[in-house]
Amino acid sequence: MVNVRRQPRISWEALLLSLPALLFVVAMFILPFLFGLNLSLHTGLKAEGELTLSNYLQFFNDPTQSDAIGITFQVALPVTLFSIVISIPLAYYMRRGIRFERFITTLLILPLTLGNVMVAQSMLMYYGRQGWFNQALQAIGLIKQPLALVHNWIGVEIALFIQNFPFVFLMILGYMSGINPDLERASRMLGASAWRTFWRVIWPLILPGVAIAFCLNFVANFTVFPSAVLVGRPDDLTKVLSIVAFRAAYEQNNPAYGTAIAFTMGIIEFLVVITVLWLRNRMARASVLGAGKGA
Amino acid sequence: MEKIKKLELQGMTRAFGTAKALVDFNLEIAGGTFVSLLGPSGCGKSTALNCIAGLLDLTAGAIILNGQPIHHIPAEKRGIGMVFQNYALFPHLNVIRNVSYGLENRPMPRAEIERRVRWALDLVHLDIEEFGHRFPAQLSGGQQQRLAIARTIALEPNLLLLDEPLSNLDTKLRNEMRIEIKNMHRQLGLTTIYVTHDQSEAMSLSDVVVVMRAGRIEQVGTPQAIYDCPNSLYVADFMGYSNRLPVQIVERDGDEWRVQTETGVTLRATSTYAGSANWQPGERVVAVSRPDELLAEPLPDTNQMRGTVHLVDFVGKAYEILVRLEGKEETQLLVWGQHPIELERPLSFGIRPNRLLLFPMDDTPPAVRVKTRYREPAWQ
Repeated sequence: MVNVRRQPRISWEALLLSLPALLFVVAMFILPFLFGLNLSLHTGLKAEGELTLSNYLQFFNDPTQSDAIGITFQVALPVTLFSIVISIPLAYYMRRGIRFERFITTLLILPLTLGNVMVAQSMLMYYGRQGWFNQALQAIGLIKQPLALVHNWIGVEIALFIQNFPFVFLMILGYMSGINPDLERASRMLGASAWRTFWRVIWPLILPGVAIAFCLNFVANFTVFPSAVLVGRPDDLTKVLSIVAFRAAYEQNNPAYGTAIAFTMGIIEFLVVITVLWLRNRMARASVLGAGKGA
Repeated sequence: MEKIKKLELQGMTRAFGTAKALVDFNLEIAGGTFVSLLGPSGCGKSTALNCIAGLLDLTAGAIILNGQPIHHIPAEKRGIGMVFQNYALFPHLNVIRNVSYGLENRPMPRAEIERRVRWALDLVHLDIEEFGHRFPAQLSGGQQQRLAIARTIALEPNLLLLDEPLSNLDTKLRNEMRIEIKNMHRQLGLTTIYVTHDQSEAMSLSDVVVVMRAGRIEQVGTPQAIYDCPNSLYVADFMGYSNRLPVQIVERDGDEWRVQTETGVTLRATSTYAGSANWQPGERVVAVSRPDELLAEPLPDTNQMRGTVHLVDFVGKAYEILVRLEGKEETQLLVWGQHPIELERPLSFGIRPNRLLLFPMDDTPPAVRVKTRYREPAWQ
């Protein structure tokens, strides 16, 4: 049996049916996108005159502005990697189902239903200097001085973790439990230890899922705004791109400049996603060809 | 790998919570034997296989290989090979890499791995040039099966376990693979344990058949012995003794028994049931026979019965005729005939006394023979 690729066939009925949706996407997404792109390529309040890259040049030439790129990476990358690294062993452990799974899953999904403002407010109470968390740690004598857990980098990391970890975990769990359990048994019967089975069988099979989870989670974390303001220190430590763009557009009243920063942000996300997917393909090919041996 | 001289399974028991899937399983297997575990789904045959493999821990009992207990050794170190019902091929590895997977888990020079991959694929008639670089999803069901066997054989296991390996194949392929498995066993002399719910598979492949029921061994013997002399109604049923006729004991007559049907016909029958010595005249028992031994053209000196033809079904070599017993219409028997017969015609048929077997009345429902199983979607 050779894979037969289905010939794409244009079905006019289907096209007609999708027309309302198409119009909606064009009106609500593509047009504003093009409008924004056009705006970012002009100076002044109105998109008039010649096209120019001056907004972009201004941003990259001003280190007090462009340092936000590095800061945003520092905020988004660690929490994304941490979520992935925690999710994989946890999902591996839960792949066959465990006791109280429904309860645990509910607990995990709950933060998704909370707004990020609410999470931030609760965090201020809970993780603050006089919050329960610090009081508890002090009471059991683990620490002398209260830990600074909000209004800094770690505050944003915690907030992002609470909001986005469930999503990453559930996605990876889905991929993990979708693997035929007999593959693991077969691997053992072929003399592979559990560790080797993980790296040679399970890892290559969940890799596409991990890559997608990483991309989605990274983008979500990269565009952080409320948490960075509420539990972070938006003037320096957590001066992420979305804050810089917001200030440019609404505080300095320069929407064209703000839009240019927003587009820069989008382009960076796009590049990261492309890189991750490219890496995934490389790794998948390596595991197929056996180049990743000895793992 | 060291060849098996003797594999002893002593009192193997496996419980899942309070449910016992396998109870006191005792069996001694000589090296090179082909053993089948036969029974309907849920009889414990797969549990037994997984226990031997090491994929399930024993609740009690021991597994002794050449005098050494092995039940505490983890599965990956037992040196046992197993072929799974759904093949469990690695979807991200091509044919060659699927076969070399197990070899790469051992310290082995590259050239030796290549030699063994070639040898194993050759053995199952999977052309390495044509299929070597294909992925499992690009193979047909039969080819996947061959690959699953090759992958296991390449490791030269001391014991080969096959878990319903043919149940996902169509009839033609199944017969083909059955012959291949038999050939391979003869060629390699590999001690093999084969799990199946298909009695004809078990019969044709095995040196020894183990019939299982509700986690216990019901009967052990050569295919011939089990076929001819089932020791319980359950085994008889599994061996295709599908005709049941309630009868009453009249008297014992040497090796034979004289029995009377509910319609007053006297028949001569045999019993292979161990407890038959205690039977008294008047005892109610059940007489069973295989359809192909209940003949529409009776030989002289056989039991004679009469009935009306209800249905006729051509089964290839002969006609299977569903007959309603004279005087007791609700008793239907399957009879074999060499010629087609008109419906609703009276028919006299007969059976040799030594092929009409007596068993005590048993509330066992006829064994469910699962013919079709869930198949993985074709696009995989």
